[in-house]
Amino acid sequence: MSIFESLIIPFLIFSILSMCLLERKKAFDIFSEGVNEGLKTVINLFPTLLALLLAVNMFRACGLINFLSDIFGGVLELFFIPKELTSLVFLEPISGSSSLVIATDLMKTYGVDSLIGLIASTILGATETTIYTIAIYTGVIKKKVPKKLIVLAIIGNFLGIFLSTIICNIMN
Amino acid sequence: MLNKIWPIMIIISVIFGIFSGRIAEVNNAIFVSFEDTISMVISLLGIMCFWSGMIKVLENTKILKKIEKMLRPFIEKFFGEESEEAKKFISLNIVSDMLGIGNAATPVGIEAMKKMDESNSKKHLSYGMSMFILLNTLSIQIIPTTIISVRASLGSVNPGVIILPVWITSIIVFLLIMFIGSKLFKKENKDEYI
Repeated sequence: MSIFESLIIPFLIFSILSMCLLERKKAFDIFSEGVNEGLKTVINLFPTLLALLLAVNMFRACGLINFLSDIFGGVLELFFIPKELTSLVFLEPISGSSSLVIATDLMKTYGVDSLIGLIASTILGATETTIYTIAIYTGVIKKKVPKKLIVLAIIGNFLGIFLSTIICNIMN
Repeated sequence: MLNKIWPIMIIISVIFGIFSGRIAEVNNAIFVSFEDTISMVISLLGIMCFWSGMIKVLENTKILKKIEKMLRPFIEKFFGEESEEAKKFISLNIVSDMLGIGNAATPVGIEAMKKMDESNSKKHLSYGMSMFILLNTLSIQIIPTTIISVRASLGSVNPGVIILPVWITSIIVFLLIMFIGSKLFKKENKDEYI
């Protein structure tokens, strides 16, 4: 299993670059262009990161987050979801960058390779910012959004969180 | 959305900090957060830029067209009633999402919504539009590059270990939710014709 996992990314890079070479494209120039775009992405992300890390750090320091995970954590634990993940579970459907910040914070606190770290990473990889997505895509057209759609999307989101927990538990 | 959540989080923290006697910790947290931001940006910079470069190379190869061709049956199944132009935007949105080019996926997706809306005379979302939004709320990214980058920057023994659980979770949720969605929305449309 471990060799397979270690192979995924090198193999991906190998395939992309081989394809590029076979098609006689300018691999280095295109790569550099992409790196520049990545740089812009990180710079654009900077204000969000600064603002959200401030809010998350303050929120955690004031002690309210323990209070909240004591209340909602019990409900999550019915679904085997660790109560440490409360804030991630609630913010994940709304904002991608804040859930990234919270997941990073969880990985720092509990260890990046700990069970909580693994579950937080998997949740981030396997779910989307559901509510945000619905808001963006329905914002451009003036039509009624069926409630069924919102409910189903939220169920999907929660199912993703639940399955991430179960599968990480099995694999660990 | 953040315009409300962000200030409210900070205001609540100050108020709760004062009442719980933890205002000193709250004050400290402000200054720690600046250092955290800088160290996060620096550790992310390299690997994020690397993936962005790799994805750019991928975009320029024929792999993209091949994936689009492979997606054709899927698109015909769910979005067969839509116009050719809408289908083009839909498949571009799906491919960008799969490759994790988020910056490209959203504008293309909005364009697809507009095109589908042009041929929709009803007062509510058409079947295709509902299915398209539902699809976009599901994770279909093949390599979760951002989270792998973050894991690597935090010194994980194996940053890519999450790929398998992410795939299993995404596939199960995708199949299940799309199946339920196709039943749910199709039925509603038929009701309206009656």
